[in-house]
Amino acid sequence: MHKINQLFQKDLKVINMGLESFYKDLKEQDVAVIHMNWRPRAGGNPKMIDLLNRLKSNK
Amino acid sequence: MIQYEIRKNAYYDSVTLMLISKEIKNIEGVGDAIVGMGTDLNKELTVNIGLKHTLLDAISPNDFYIAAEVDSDESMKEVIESVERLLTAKKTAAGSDYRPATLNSAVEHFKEANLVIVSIAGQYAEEEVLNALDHDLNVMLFSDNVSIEAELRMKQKAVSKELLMMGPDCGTAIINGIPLAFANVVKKGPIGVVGASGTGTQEVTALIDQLGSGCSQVIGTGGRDLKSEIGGLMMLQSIDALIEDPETKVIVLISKPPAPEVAEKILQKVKLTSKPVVVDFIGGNQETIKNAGAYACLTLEDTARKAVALANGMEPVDFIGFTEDESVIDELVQKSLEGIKPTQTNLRALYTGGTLADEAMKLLGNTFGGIYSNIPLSPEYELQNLNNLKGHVCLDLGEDQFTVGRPHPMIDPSTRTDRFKTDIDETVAVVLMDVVIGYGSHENPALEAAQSVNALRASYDEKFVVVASITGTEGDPQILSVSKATLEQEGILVLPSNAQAVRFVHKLLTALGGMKHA
Amino acid sequence: MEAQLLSRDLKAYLESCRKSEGKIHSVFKDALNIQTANGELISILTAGKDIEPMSALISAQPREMKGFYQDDPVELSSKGILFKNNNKWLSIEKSKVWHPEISIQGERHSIEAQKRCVEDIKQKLVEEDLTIGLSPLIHYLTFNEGVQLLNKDSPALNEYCDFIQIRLYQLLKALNDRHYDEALTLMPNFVGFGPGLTPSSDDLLAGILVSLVYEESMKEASLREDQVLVFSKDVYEICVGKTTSVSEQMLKFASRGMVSEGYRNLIRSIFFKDQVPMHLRIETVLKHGASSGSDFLFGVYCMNSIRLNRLKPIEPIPVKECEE
Repeated sequence: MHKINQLFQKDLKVINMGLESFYKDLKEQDVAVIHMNWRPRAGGNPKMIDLLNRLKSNK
Repeated sequence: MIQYEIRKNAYYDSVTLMLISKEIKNIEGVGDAIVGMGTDLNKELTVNIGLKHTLLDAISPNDFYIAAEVDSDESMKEVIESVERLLTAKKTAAGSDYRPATLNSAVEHFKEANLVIVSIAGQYAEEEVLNALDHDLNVMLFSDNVSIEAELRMKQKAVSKELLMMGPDCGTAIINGIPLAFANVVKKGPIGVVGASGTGTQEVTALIDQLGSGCSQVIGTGGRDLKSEIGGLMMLQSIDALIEDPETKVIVLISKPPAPEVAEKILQKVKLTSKPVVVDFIGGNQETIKNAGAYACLTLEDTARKAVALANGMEPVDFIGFTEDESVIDELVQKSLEGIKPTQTNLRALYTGGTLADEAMKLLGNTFGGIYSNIPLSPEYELQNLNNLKGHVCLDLGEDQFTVGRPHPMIDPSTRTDRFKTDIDETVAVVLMDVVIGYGSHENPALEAAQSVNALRASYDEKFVVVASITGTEGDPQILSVSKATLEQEGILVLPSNAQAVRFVHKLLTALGGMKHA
Repeated sequence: MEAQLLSRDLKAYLESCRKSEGKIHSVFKDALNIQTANGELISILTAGKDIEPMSALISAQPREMKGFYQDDPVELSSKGILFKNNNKWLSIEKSKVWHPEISIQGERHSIEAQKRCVEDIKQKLVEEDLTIGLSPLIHYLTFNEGVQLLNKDSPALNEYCDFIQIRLYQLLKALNDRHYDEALTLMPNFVGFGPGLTPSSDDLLAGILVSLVYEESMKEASLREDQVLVFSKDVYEICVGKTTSVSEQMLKFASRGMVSEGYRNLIRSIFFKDQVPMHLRIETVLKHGASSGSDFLFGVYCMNSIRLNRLKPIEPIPVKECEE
């Protein structure tokens, strides 16, 4: 069975990354959902992100 | 380097400590780490795993500490910030549920997760989406401002892993009956929909519900899926899934006209199934669709009606009229225009849904001396000055020029309320608008619209004919019938679909034109 | 705020104070601890939590518990508790009383039935497939031929299990052989170990101690071994200062056989016939903390396995043939 069809057989279990309103709407409908307290890596600082990316590729 | 963070006499419940521990280990630049209270044995373990530090001796059993191997001060800073976030988050009123800061912690915490909805700033989206796909999660990517190259990379990965990657700029999906982001509560039924257009998908699925049928799955693909750069990757994969889905008996495809070679690929796939396929390539070539054995459509409503007919085992017919008897409609046209002054000649259409505005433009055509717009049918009708409108105008208020620094008008109706004041004057006879309800939309768009109309009527002696349609269902939180009543109480004429509302406006303008010449 | 249920030892304490000063020791999302002038901890628990010694269960929901901070001054009296900073008043007047003491009334289980209960606990811990706390060590210990530590190719252990497994084995072996003095010497190398406000090894120890106390208390007076209860008390004395104050208090009560209602129900379920099925008792315990419940359960499993395997059937005396 195609993986997407497997999804159709299951209960949706959602991770919400971003707008809190989407999370609230899903909670209202009793959907299993968690909301992330997402922040850009290194506070969104492009220089830091670049550095972290280079570290990641060196690992 | 080894760094410590110590909080004396600090007591955190065990669940929080465990989450902190997991979160920290997932941070970039952090190697081994240990989190806990400063008992002798914990300190012994700390030394054993190579995290010894001179500060260790000073810690006592009632002190909380983090010992971590980090590659830089910045990484340690991130560790400390991460801990702060977790500790303050648990104290907030919002049910104190855990809100992980990274996708990796989210996945560890919620192992059964199968879908991520991503609505963060576009520049960060690709990395998060690729990570999500690596974790075998399906993705709905609501964010826009994502490059088409990134879109291709994400979709290629998704296709290779047989996962959904709906987006970017995907605002509407209904998976397993659950409306996601901007979507309506639609009854479950045999019609599977794949849509590259948000409000277009909403209109079609809401009408399917209103017509007594329902949807099995509604998959969004994002607006650019059928461009040649992407090649219809998500739509093709979704069609496969719907072909294989036993709950889906009829397949519906919705998109702006695709690149020709992409349309070809899609229609080739359509030929492979015995399930009836209804295709709305909004305004695109009908012949190629028919030649592939699919059913072509004239409007979003026509799409819904054909799908429902097929679901009911009936032969679909073109729907280009009204639900009500034409004679009733004509009478209503005449009655509405009573009291309209000869100086009132213009149409102002203010739309929140892009595809609905597009449909309006196409149905009204280049008649009536052309319709000015920010999404014009031909370049000479592009509005130069959005603040000084002349002639017939149809605006898509969801477009970039109106949403700089403000939320989309579906969420925040004040954009349209403001435009009511600037765009409608004594030269206007007819006002046309869409009211989109459902999840994601404003709490009560009908009330906001009605109040705008009320304010309008109060400001002018002139009478206006206000026409609207509601995209929504009885199951929506705002309730279709209640929204309708709210609009009608304000003397707004509510037609059952955008197409019918636009056709009604067409009749009004024709009659007005006739009156002018009379 | 009103206390709906009050532990009898807390009630007695409050009734004996005129007006005693204290402060908030720690605040959690669904509970808080108050530290009295003499260092004792009192737990205030919100609806849905499990009552325990020196605690009060109040009717408020966790989300209503706002405005309480560490070190806030508190006044304790026979009528209730006043939080001076936010002026919240917790009244104990209408509360029911909960008795924290060990309870050995009921229809006793046969040895076989007890063994089945202990097997249920093992099954559940194995099923849960936990990776936190010390209970993953359940795969490495057997008890039917004395205590043995194996190194099977079992689920990967976490770093805490790896570190403590030998020490746990030594402790269990000493208990199996009833070498209580030896067990005491091992305590400083065992207590206060693990992440968590009540470190895993302390929760495990609590499971062991409560099981020992219950076993001892149910024996015929003539068969009792004083040394068991003395041992238990001594374990607590050794733990003082070696672990968190919250865990110390937990061990103080556990060494006397006193634990929360849910934990007590579980222990009793082993020794006595219970209306409620064992697996539900186990599930209630598992909900505690992050691994507190499973660590406690593991301790209960170990100690009960030891004592039940010691109860071998008496060998019949061989009859000598009479010489003609």
